[in-house]
Amino acid sequence: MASSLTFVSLSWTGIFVGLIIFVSLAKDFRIIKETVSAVIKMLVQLFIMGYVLMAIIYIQTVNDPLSQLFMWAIIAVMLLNAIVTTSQRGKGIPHIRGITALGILAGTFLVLLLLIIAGVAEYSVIGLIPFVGSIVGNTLTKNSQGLERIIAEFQARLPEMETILALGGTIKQATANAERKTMQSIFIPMNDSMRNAGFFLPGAAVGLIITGTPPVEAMIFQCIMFLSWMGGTIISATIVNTLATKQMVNNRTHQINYDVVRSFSPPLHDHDHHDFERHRNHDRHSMNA
Amino acid sequence: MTNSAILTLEDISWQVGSRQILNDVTFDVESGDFISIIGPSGAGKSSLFKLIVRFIEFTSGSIYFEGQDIKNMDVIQLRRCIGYILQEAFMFEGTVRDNLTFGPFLQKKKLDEERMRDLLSHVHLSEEMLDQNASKLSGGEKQRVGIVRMLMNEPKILLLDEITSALDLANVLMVEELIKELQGSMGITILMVSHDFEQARRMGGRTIFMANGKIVESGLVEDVFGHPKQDLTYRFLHGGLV
Repeated sequence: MASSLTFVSLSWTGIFVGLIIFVSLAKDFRIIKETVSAVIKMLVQLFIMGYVLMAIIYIQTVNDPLSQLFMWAIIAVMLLNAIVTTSQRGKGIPHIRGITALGILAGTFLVLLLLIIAGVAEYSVIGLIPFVGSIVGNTLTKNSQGLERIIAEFQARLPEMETILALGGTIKQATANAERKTMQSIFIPMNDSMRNAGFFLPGAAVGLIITGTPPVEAMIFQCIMFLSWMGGTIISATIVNTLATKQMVNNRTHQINYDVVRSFSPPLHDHDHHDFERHRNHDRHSMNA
Repeated sequence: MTNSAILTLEDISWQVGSRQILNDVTFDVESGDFISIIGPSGAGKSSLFKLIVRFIEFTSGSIYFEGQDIKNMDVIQLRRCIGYILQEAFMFEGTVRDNLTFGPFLQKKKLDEERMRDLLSHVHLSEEMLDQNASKLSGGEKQRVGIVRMLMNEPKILLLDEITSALDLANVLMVEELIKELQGSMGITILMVSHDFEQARRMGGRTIFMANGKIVESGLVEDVFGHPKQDLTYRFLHGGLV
Protein backbone atom coordinates (compact mmCIF):
# COMPACT_ATOMS: atom_id res chain seq x y z
CA MET A 1 0.00 0.00 0.00
CA ALA A 2 1.55 3.33 -1.04
CA SER A 3 1.88 5.76 1.86
CA SER A 4 -0.42 8.73 1.93
CA LEU A 5 0.90 12.01 3.36
CA THR A 6 -2.20 14.09 3.74
CA PHE A 7 -3.97 16.06 6.43
CA VAL A 8 -6.43 13.22 6.72
CA SER A 9 -3.71 10.70 7.44
CA LEU A 10 -2.14 13.14 9.90
CA SER A 11 -5.44 13.53 11.72
CA TRP A 12 -5.45 9.79 12.44
CA THR A 13 -2.31 10.20 14.53
CA GLY A 14 -4.25 12.70 16.63
CA ILE A 15 -5.45 9.54 18.37
CA PHE A 16 -2.12 9.51 20.20
CA VAL A 17 -2.77 12.97 21.61
CA GLY A 18 -6.11 11.68 22.81
CA LEU A 19 -4.31 8.75 24.37
CA ILE A 20 -1.96 11.04 26.27
CA ILE A 21 -4.92 13.05 27.56
CA PHE A 22 -6.72 9.87 28.63
CA VAL A 23 -3.72 8.30 30.37
CA SER A 24 -2.72 11.57 32.02
CA LEU A 25 -6.19 12.05 33.45
CA ALA A 26 -6.51 8.44 34.52
CA LYS A 27 -3.12 8.34 36.22
CA ASP A 28 -2.89 11.99 37.23
CA PHE A 29 0.39 12.45 35.35
CA ARG A 30 -0.36 16.16 34.73
CA ILE A 31 1.30 16.26 31.34
CA ILE A 32 -1.70 17.37 29.28
CA LYS A 33 -1.12 21.11 29.21
CA GLU A 34 2.59 20.84 28.38
CA THR A 35 2.04 18.12 25.74
CA VAL A 36 -0.96 19.67 24.03
CA SER A 37 0.71 23.07 23.83
CA ALA A 38 3.85 21.42 22.42
CA VAL A 39 1.79 19.54 19.81
CA ILE A 40 -0.07 22.67 18.77
CA LYS A 41 3.18 24.65 18.51
CA MET A 42 4.75 21.82 16.49
CA LEU A 43 1.84 21.66 14.05
CA VAL A 44 1.62 25.40 13.56
CA GLN A 45 5.36 25.92 13.20
CA LEU A 46 6.02 22.95 10.93
CA PHE A 47 3.17 23.82 8.60
CA ILE A 48 4.17 27.45 8.45
CA MET A 49 7.67 26.28 7.57
CA GLY A 50 6.30 23.88 4.98
CA TYR A 51 4.25 26.56 3.23
CA VAL A 52 7.06 29.09 3.47
CA LEU A 53 9.46 26.61 1.84
CA MET A 54 6.94 25.94 -0.91
CA ALA A 55 6.64 29.67 -1.50
CA ILE A 56 10.40 30.15 -1.62
CA ILE A 57 10.82 27.24 -4.02
CA TYR A 58 8.26 28.88 -6.27
CA ILE A 59 9.99 32.28 -5.94
CA GLN A 60 13.25 30.58 -6.88
CA THR A 61 11.80 29.78 -10.29
CA VAL A 62 11.01 33.44 -10.99
CA ASN A 63 13.58 35.39 -8.94
CA ASP A 64 16.53 33.40 -7.61
CA PRO A 65 18.25 36.27 -5.69
CA LEU A 66 14.99 37.04 -3.85
CA SER A 67 14.54 33.39 -2.95
CA GLN A 68 18.10 33.35 -1.54
CA LEU A 69 17.26 36.37 0.57
CA PHE A 70 14.24 34.55 1.98
CA MET A 71 16.35 31.43 2.49
CA TRP A 72 18.87 33.32 4.62
CA ALA A 73 16.07 35.06 6.48
CA ILE A 74 14.64 31.68 7.45
CA ILE A 75 18.07 30.42 8.46
CA ALA A 76 18.54 33.56 10.56
CA VAL A 77 15.19 32.99 12.29
CA MET A 78 16.15 29.36 13.04
CA LEU A 79 19.50 30.38 14.46
CA LEU A 80 18.05 33.25 16.48
CA ASN A 81 15.39 30.99 17.96
CA ALA A 82 18.02 28.40 18.87
CA ILE A 83 20.28 31.00 20.46
CA VAL A 84 17.50 32.62 22.50
CA THR A 85 15.99 29.30 23.60
CA THR A 86 19.33 27.74 24.53
CA SER A 87 20.61 30.78 26.38
CA GLN A 88 17.54 30.75 28.63
CA ARG A 89 18.88 27.51 30.11
CA GLY A 90 22.03 29.34 31.05
CA LYS A 91 20.25 32.23 32.75
CA GLY A 92 22.58 33.81 35.26
CA ILE A 93 25.78 33.11 33.34
CA PRO A 94 27.21 36.43 32.12
CA HIS A 95 27.30 36.93 28.33
CA ILE A 96 25.37 33.70 27.79
CA ARG A 97 23.64 34.93 24.63
CA GLY A 98 26.98 35.71 23.02
CA ILE A 99 28.41 32.38 24.15
CA THR A 100 25.50 30.33 22.78
CA ALA A 101 25.50 32.38 19.58
CA LEU A 102 29.17 31.62 19.01
CA GLY A 103 28.74 27.93 19.78
CA ILE A 104 25.62 27.39 17.70
CA LEU A 105 26.89 29.40 14.74
CA ALA A 106 30.24 27.62 14.74
CA GLY A 107 28.64 24.19 15.19
CA THR A 108 26.12 24.77 12.43
CA PHE A 109 28.21 26.43 9.76
CA LEU A 110 31.35 24.35 10.12
CA VAL A 111 29.32 21.18 9.70
CA LEU A 112 27.35 22.70 6.84
CA LEU A 113 30.56 23.69 5.09
CA LEU A 114 31.80 20.13 5.28
CA LEU A 115 28.50 18.80 3.95
CA ILE A 116 28.69 21.19 1.00
CA ILE A 117 32.32 20.24 0.29
CA ALA A 118 31.36 16.56 0.51
CA GLY A 119 28.58 17.12 -1.99
CA VAL A 120 25.88 16.07 0.45
CA ALA A 121 24.29 19.51 0.68
CA GLU A 122 24.06 21.99 -2.15
CA TYR A 123 23.77 25.74 -2.01
CA SER A 124 20.06 26.11 -2.70
CA VAL A 125 16.81 26.54 -0.79
CA ILE A 126 16.08 22.81 -0.75
CA GLY A 127 19.75 22.02 -0.25
CA LEU A 128 20.47 24.23 2.76
CA ILE A 129 17.37 24.86 4.83
CA PRO A 130 16.59 21.22 5.76
CA PHE A 131 20.21 20.58 6.77
CA VAL A 132 20.51 23.81 8.72
CA GLY A 133 17.17 23.15 10.39
CA SER A 134 18.22 19.68 11.43
CA ILE A 135 21.68 20.63 12.69
CA VAL A 136 20.40 23.72 14.52
CA GLY A 137 17.62 21.70 16.13
CA ASN A 138 20.12 19.20 17.41
CA THR A 139 22.56 21.82 18.73
CA LEU A 140 19.66 23.59 20.46
CA THR A 141 18.67 20.43 22.32
CA LYS A 142 22.19 19.40 23.21
CA ASN A 143 23.37 22.80 24.35
CA SER A 144 20.22 23.44 26.37
CA GLN A 145 20.92 20.14 28.09
CA GLY A 146 24.55 21.08 28.50
CA LEU A 147 23.87 24.44 30.10
CA GLU A 148 21.32 23.01 32.52
CA ARG A 149 23.81 20.35 33.43
CA ILE A 150 26.86 22.57 33.91
CA ILE A 151 24.87 24.80 36.25
CA ALA A 152 23.60 21.78 38.20
CA GLU A 153 27.13 20.35 38.36
CA PHE A 154 28.54 23.59 39.75
CA GLN A 155 25.82 23.75 42.36
CA ALA A 156 26.19 20.12 43.39
CA ARG A 157 29.99 20.02 43.25
CA LEU A 158 30.72 23.25 45.10
CA PRO A 159 32.05 21.39 48.19
CA GLU A 160 34.23 19.21 45.94
CA MET A 161 35.58 22.21 44.05
CA GLU A 162 36.30 24.15 47.24
CA THR A 163 38.09 21.14 48.74
CA ILE A 164 40.28 20.77 45.64
CA LEU A 165 41.11 24.48 45.68
CA ALA A 166 41.83 24.35 49.42
CA LEU A 167 44.25 21.47 48.81
CA GLY A 168 46.16 23.66 46.38
CA GLY A 169 44.55 22.48 43.16
CA THR A 170 44.06 24.72 40.18
CA ILE A 171 40.64 25.92 39.11
CA LYS A 172 40.96 23.66 36.08
CA GLN A 173 41.44 20.64 38.34
CA ALA A 174 38.54 21.78 40.51
CA THR A 175 36.10 22.08 37.61
CA ALA A 176 37.30 19.09 35.57
CA ASN A 177 34.65 16.69 36.88
CA ALA A 178 31.84 19.19 36.30
CA GLU A 179 32.88 19.76 32.68
CA ARG A 180 33.45 16.08 32.04
CA LYS A 181 30.06 15.04 33.41
CA THR A 182 28.36 17.75 31.40
CA MET A 183 29.87 16.60 28.12
CA GLN A 184 29.15 12.98 28.95
CA SER A 185 25.51 13.80 29.68
CA ILE A 186 25.24 15.38 26.23
CA PHE A 187 26.82 12.51 24.36
CA ILE A 188 25.36 9.50 26.17
CA PRO A 189 21.86 9.77 24.62
CA MET A 190 23.37 10.41 21.18
CA ASN A 191 25.69 7.44 21.49
CA ASP A 192 22.79 5.27 22.65
CA SER A 193 20.81 6.26 19.56
CA MET A 194 23.69 5.50 17.22
CA ARG A 195 24.49 2.26 19.01
CA ASN A 196 20.95 1.02 18.50
CA ALA A 197 20.28 2.46 15.07
CA GLY A 198 19.40 -0.35 12.73
CA PHE A 199 17.43 -2.03 15.50
CA PHE A 200 15.13 0.95 15.11
CA LEU A 201 14.78 3.16 12.04
CA PRO A 202 15.56 6.83 12.67
CA GLY A 203 13.22 9.48 11.29
CA ALA A 204 15.36 10.77 8.44
CA ALA A 205 15.75 7.28 6.95
CA VAL A 206 12.05 6.54 7.43
CA GLY A 207 11.09 9.72 5.60
CA LEU A 208 13.34 8.92 2.67
CA ILE A 209 12.31 5.28 2.37
CA ILE A 210 8.58 5.94 2.33
CA THR A 211 9.05 8.61 -0.36
CA GLY A 212 10.84 6.13 -2.59
CA THR A 213 14.56 6.50 -1.87
CA PRO A 214 16.38 3.13 -2.04
CA PRO A 215 16.90 1.88 1.54
CA VAL A 216 20.69 1.72 1.40
CA GLU A 217 20.88 5.33 0.18
CA ALA A 218 18.47 6.30 2.94
CA MET A 219 20.76 4.63 5.49
CA ILE A 220 23.79 6.44 4.07
CA PHE A 221 21.91 9.68 4.48
CA GLN A 222 20.90 8.77 8.05
CA CYS A 223 24.53 7.99 8.95
CA ILE A 224 25.59 11.32 7.49
CA MET A 225 22.98 13.05 9.62
CA PHE A 226 24.02 11.23 12.82
CA LEU A 227 27.64 12.15 12.27
CA SER A 228 26.73 15.72 11.34
CA TRP A 229 24.75 16.09 14.56
CA MET A 230 27.70 14.65 16.42
CA GLY A 231 30.03 17.14 14.73
CA GLY A 232 27.69 20.05 15.39
CA THR A 233 27.35 18.98 19.00
CA ILE A 234 31.05 18.57 19.76
CA ILE A 235 31.89 21.92 18.20
CA SER A 236 29.05 23.90 19.76
CA ALA A 237 29.07 22.16 23.16
CA THR A 238 32.83 22.52 23.56
CA ILE A 239 32.59 26.24 22.85
CA VAL A 240 29.52 26.78 25.03
CA ASN A 241 30.72 24.70 27.97
CA THR A 242 34.23 26.11 27.94
CA LEU A 243 33.11 29.73 27.72
CA ALA A 244 30.24 29.25 30.19
CA THR A 245 32.62 27.67 32.70
CA LYS A 246 35.04 30.58 32.23
CA GLN A 247 32.29 32.92 33.39
CA MET A 248 31.82 30.90 36.55
CA VAL A 249 35.46 30.92 37.59
CA ASN A 250 38.50 33.15 37.57
CA ASN A 251 41.30 31.27 35.83
CA ARG A 252 44.01 33.71 36.84
CA THR A 253 43.33 33.65 40.57
CA HIS A 254 41.92 30.10 40.68
CA GLN A 255 38.69 31.24 42.26
CA ILE A 256 35.06 30.30 41.87
CA ASN A 257 32.92 33.24 40.83
CA TYR A 258 30.53 32.98 43.77
CA ASP A 259 28.45 35.93 42.57
CA VAL A 260 27.48 33.92 39.49
CA VAL A 261 27.29 30.43 40.99
CA ARG A 262 25.15 31.47 43.97
CA SER A 263 22.78 33.43 41.71
CA PHE A 264 21.46 30.27 40.04
CA SER A 265 18.05 29.03 41.18
CA PRO A 266 18.23 26.14 43.62
CA PRO A 267 18.57 22.82 41.84
CA LEU A 268 15.32 20.92 41.28
CA HIS A 269 14.74 17.96 43.55
CA ASP A 270 11.53 16.93 41.79
CA HIS A 271 12.61 13.68 40.12
CA ASP A 272 9.37 13.49 38.15
CA HIS A 273 10.05 16.84 36.56
CA HIS A 274 13.60 15.79 35.71
CA ASP A 275 12.37 12.56 34.10
CA PHE A 276 9.87 14.43 31.98
CA GLU A 277 12.53 16.91 30.86
CA ARG A 278 14.85 14.06 29.93
CA HIS A 279 12.14 12.30 27.93
CA ARG A 280 11.13 15.52 26.23
CA ASN A 281 14.67 16.13 25.09
CA HIS A 282 14.96 12.52 23.90
CA ASP A 283 11.74 12.90 21.92
CA ARG A 284 13.05 16.05 20.30
CA HIS A 285 16.13 14.14 19.23
CA SER A 286 14.03 11.29 17.77
CA MET A 287 11.95 13.80 15.83
CA ASN A 288 15.11 15.35 14.46
CA ALA A 289 16.15 11.90 13.33
CA MET B 1 52.73 44.22 62.00
CA THR B 2 55.15 42.38 64.31
CA ASN B 3 58.28 40.98 62.64
CA SER B 4 57.75 37.48 64.02
CA ALA B 5 54.12 37.20 62.91
CA ILE B 6 53.45 34.34 60.53
CA LEU B 7 50.17 35.91 59.46
CA THR B 8 49.09 39.54 59.66
CA LEU B 9 45.77 41.08 58.73
CA GLU B 10 45.78 44.87 58.42
CA ASP B 11 42.52 46.82 58.14
CA ILE B 12 40.78 44.11 56.17
CA SER B 13 37.42 45.19 54.84
CA TRP B 14 35.11 43.33 52.51
CA GLN B 15 32.06 44.83 50.94
CA VAL B 16 29.53 43.06 48.72
CA GLY B 17 27.32 45.52 46.92
CA SER B 18 26.17 47.89 49.64
CA ARG B 19 26.71 45.36 52.42
CA GLN B 20 29.81 45.70 54.59
CA ILE B 21 30.64 42.14 55.59
CA LEU B 22 34.01 42.84 57.25
CA ASN B 23 35.19 46.16 58.60
CA ASP B 24 38.83 47.03 59.41
CA VAL B 25 39.81 43.65 60.80
CA THR B 26 43.38 43.73 62.12
CA PHE B 27 45.32 41.09 64.03
CA ASP B 28 48.62 39.22 64.09
CA VAL B 29 49.17 35.50 64.37
CA GLU B 30 52.46 34.26 65.81
CA SER B 31 53.96 30.97 64.74
CA GLY B 32 52.60 28.14 66.88
CA ASP B 33 49.58 30.13 68.07
CA PHE B 34 46.17 28.61 68.66
CA ILE B 35 43.44 31.19 68.06
CA SER B 36 39.72 30.58 68.16
CA ILE B 37 37.59 33.07 66.29
CA ILE B 38 34.17 33.16 67.89
CA GLY B 39 31.04 35.14 67.39
CA PRO B 40 27.39 34.94 66.40
CA SER B 41 26.21 33.84 62.94
CA GLY B 42 26.86 36.45 60.29
CA ALA B 43 29.81 37.95 62.14
CA GLY B 44 32.08 37.36 59.14
CA LYS B 45 34.20 34.62 60.70
CA SER B 46 34.10 32.13 57.81
CA SER B 47 34.40 34.96 55.28
CA LEU B 48 37.65 35.93 56.97
CA PHE B 49 39.10 32.48 56.30
CA LYS B 50 37.96 32.58 52.68
CA LEU B 51 39.73 35.93 52.28
CA ILE B 52 42.96 34.62 53.82
CA VAL B 53 43.19 31.77 51.30
CA ARG B 54 41.88 34.02 48.52
CA PHE B 55 38.73 32.11 47.74
CA ILE B 56 37.34 35.64 47.59
CA GLU B 57 39.08 39.02 47.39
CA PHE B 58 38.88 41.64 50.13
CA THR B 59 37.91 45.20 49.24
CA SER B 60 40.69 46.97 51.12
CA GLY B 61 43.54 46.29 53.52
CA SER B 62 46.44 43.87 53.39
CA ILE B 63 47.20 40.34 54.45
CA TYR B 64 50.80 39.20 54.93
CA PHE B 65 51.98 35.62 55.17
CA GLU B 66 55.53 35.33 56.50
CA GLY B 67 56.00 38.99 55.68
CA GLN B 68 54.86 38.68 52.08
CA ASP B 69 51.70 40.34 50.77
CA ILE B 70 49.45 37.45 49.76
CA LYS B 71 48.33 39.34 46.67
CA ASN B 72 51.90 39.05 45.41
CA MET B 73 52.08 35.34 46.14
CA ASP B 74 51.18 32.50 43.81
CA VAL B 75 47.68 31.67 45.01
CA ILE B 76 48.20 27.90 44.66
CA GLN B 77 51.33 28.10 46.80
CA LEU B 78 49.46 30.24 49.35
CA ARG B 79 46.76 27.59 49.70
CA ARG B 80 49.37 24.87 50.16
CA CYS B 81 51.00 26.88 52.95
CA ILE B 82 47.70 27.82 54.61
CA GLY B 83 45.48 24.77 54.81
CA TYR B 84 41.80 25.63 54.86
CA ILE B 85 39.56 22.86 56.14
CA LEU B 86 35.88 23.45 55.42
CA GLN B 87 32.96 22.75 57.70
CA GLU B 88 31.86 19.60 55.96
CA ALA B 89 34.66 17.17 55.21
CA PHE B 90 34.01 16.37 51.58
CA MET B 91 35.32 12.93 50.68
CA PHE B 92 36.43 12.22 47.13
CA GLU B 93 35.20 9.07 45.46
CA GLY B 94 37.27 6.09 46.39
CA THR B 95 39.10 4.89 49.44
CA VAL B 96 40.59 6.70 52.40
CA ARG B 97 43.99 6.21 50.75
CA ASP B 98 42.70 7.87 47.56
CA ASN B 99 41.63 10.85 49.64
CA LEU B 100 44.89 11.15 51.55
CA THR B 101 46.95 10.98 48.39
CA PHE B 102 44.91 13.66 46.64
CA GLY B 103 47.03 16.58 47.80
CA PRO B 104 50.34 15.07 46.57
CA PHE B 105 48.54 13.97 43.39
CA LEU B 106 47.48 17.57 42.68
CA GLN B 107 51.07 18.67 43.08
CA LYS B 108 52.34 15.70 41.06
CA LYS B 109 54.46 14.76 44.07
CA LYS B 110 55.50 11.30 45.15
CA LEU B 111 53.47 10.05 48.09
CA ASP B 112 55.26 9.92 51.43
CA GLU B 113 53.77 6.68 52.77
CA GLU B 114 55.59 6.93 56.09
CA ARG B 115 54.26 10.44 56.71
CA MET B 116 50.76 9.30 55.82
CA ARG B 117 50.87 6.42 58.31
CA ASP B 118 52.38 8.65 60.97
CA LEU B 119 49.63 11.26 60.53
CA LEU B 120 46.97 8.57 60.61
CA SER B 121 48.24 7.40 63.98
CA HIS B 122 48.20 11.01 65.22
CA VAL B 123 44.46 11.16 64.56
CA HIS B 124 43.90 7.66 65.97
CA LEU B 125 42.89 6.06 62.71
CA SER B 126 44.21 2.58 61.93
CA GLU B 127 46.03 1.67 58.75
CA GLU B 128 43.27 -0.81 57.95
CA MET B 129 41.06 2.18 57.20
CA LEU B 130 43.18 3.10 54.22
CA ASP B 131 41.34 0.66 51.97
CA GLN B 132 37.90 1.56 53.28
CA ASN B 133 35.40 3.41 51.11
CA ALA B 134 35.66 7.01 52.29
CA SER B 135 31.95 7.69 51.77
CA LYS B 136 31.07 5.07 54.37
CA LEU B 137 33.00 6.79 57.18
CA SER B 138 31.25 8.42 60.09
CA GLY B 139 31.23 12.21 60.45
CA GLY B 140 34.03 12.17 63.01
CA GLU B 141 36.15 9.83 60.89
CA LYS B 142 35.65 12.00 57.82
CA GLN B 143 36.82 15.06 59.70
CA ARG B 144 39.92 13.23 60.88
CA VAL B 145 40.67 12.02 57.37
CA GLY B 146 40.11 15.59 56.19
CA ILE B 147 42.68 16.87 58.69
CA VAL B 148 45.26 14.26 57.67
CA ARG B 149 44.55 14.98 54.01
CA MET B 150 45.36 18.63 54.55
CA LEU B 151 48.42 17.87 56.70
CA MET B 152 49.84 15.80 53.82
CA ASN B 153 50.47 19.17 52.15
CA GLU B 154 52.63 20.23 55.14
CA PRO B 155 50.88 23.56 55.64
CA LYS B 156 52.30 26.08 58.09
CA ILE B 157 48.88 27.27 59.21
CA LEU B 158 45.61 25.39 59.53
CA LEU B 159 42.31 27.24 59.23
CA LEU B 160 39.54 25.11 60.72
CA ASP B 161 36.13 26.44 59.72
CA GLU B 162 33.55 25.11 62.22
CA ILE B 163 34.77 21.57 61.55
CA THR B 164 32.92 20.15 64.55
CA SER B 165 29.57 21.88 64.02
CA ALA B 166 28.00 18.83 62.34
CA LEU B 167 29.30 16.32 64.90
CA ASP B 168 27.77 14.92 68.05
CA LEU B 169 29.30 15.90 71.37
CA ALA B 170 31.46 12.78 71.74
CA ASN B 171 33.03 13.36 68.32
CA VAL B 172 33.38 17.08 68.98
CA LEU B 173 35.40 16.40 72.10
CA MET B 174 37.49 13.78 70.33
CA VAL B 175 38.33 16.10 67.44
CA GLU B 176 39.16 18.89 69.88
CA GLU B 177 41.61 16.60 71.69
CA LEU B 178 43.17 15.62 68.39
CA ILE B 179 43.64 19.25 67.41
CA LYS B 180 45.30 20.00 70.74
CA GLU B 181 47.59 16.99 70.36
CA LEU B 182 48.51 17.95 66.80
CA GLN B 183 49.21 21.49 67.85
CA GLY B 184 51.33 20.31 70.74
CA SER B 185 53.30 17.69 68.81
CA MET B 186 53.69 19.45 65.47
CA GLY B 187 53.71 23.04 66.67
CA ILE B 188 51.46 23.98 63.82
CA THR B 189 49.69 27.35 63.90
CA ILE B 190 45.94 26.89 64.08
CA LEU B 191 43.04 29.30 63.68
CA MET B 192 39.63 27.82 64.42
CA VAL B 193 36.25 29.37 63.73
CA SER B 194 33.49 28.42 66.12
CA HIS B 195 30.12 29.78 67.09
CA ASP B 196 30.44 27.84 70.36
CA PHE B 197 32.32 29.85 72.98
CA GLU B 198 32.49 26.80 75.27
CA GLN B 199 34.58 25.14 72.61
CA ALA B 200 36.92 28.11 72.60
CA ARG B 201 37.14 27.85 76.39
CA ARG B 202 38.05 24.16 76.17
CA MET B 203 40.67 24.78 73.45
CA GLY B 204 42.41 27.58 75.31
CA GLY B 205 44.99 29.82 73.67
CA ARG B 206 43.91 33.17 72.30
CA THR B 207 40.47 34.15 71.19
CA ILE B 208 39.07 36.81 68.90
CA PHE B 209 35.42 37.74 69.35
CA MET B 210 33.78 39.13 66.22
CA ALA B 211 30.36 40.62 65.65
CA ASN B 212 28.89 42.55 62.70
CA GLY B 213 32.09 42.14 60.70
CA LYS B 214 34.35 43.71 63.31
CA ILE B 215 36.69 42.49 66.01
CA VAL B 216 35.01 43.40 69.27
CA GLU B 217 37.55 41.99 71.67
CA SER B 218 40.58 39.71 71.63
CA GLY B 219 43.07 38.24 74.02
CA LEU B 220 43.78 35.13 76.02
CA VAL B 221 40.71 32.94 76.47
CA GLU B 222 40.77 33.24 80.25
CA ASP B 223 40.97 37.04 80.06
CA VAL B 224 38.26 37.53 77.46
CA PHE B 225 35.91 35.00 79.02
CA GLY B 226 36.71 35.83 82.60
CA HIS B 227 36.72 39.62 82.28
CA PRO B 228 35.04 40.72 79.05
CA LYS B 229 35.61 44.41 78.50
CA GLN B 230 32.88 44.95 75.92
CA ASP B 231 29.16 44.70 76.46
CA LEU B 232 28.70 42.73 73.20
CA THR B 233 31.22 40.15 74.41
CA TYR B 234 29.43 39.84 77.71
CA ARG B 235 26.10 39.37 75.98
CA PHE B 236 27.52 36.71 73.65
CA LEU B 237 29.05 34.79 76.53
CA HIS B 238 25.78 34.88 78.41
CA GLY B 239 23.62 33.72 75.53
CA GLY B 240 22.17 37.12 74.65
CA LEU B 241 23.67 37.24 71.15
CA VAL B 242 23.08 34.52 68.57
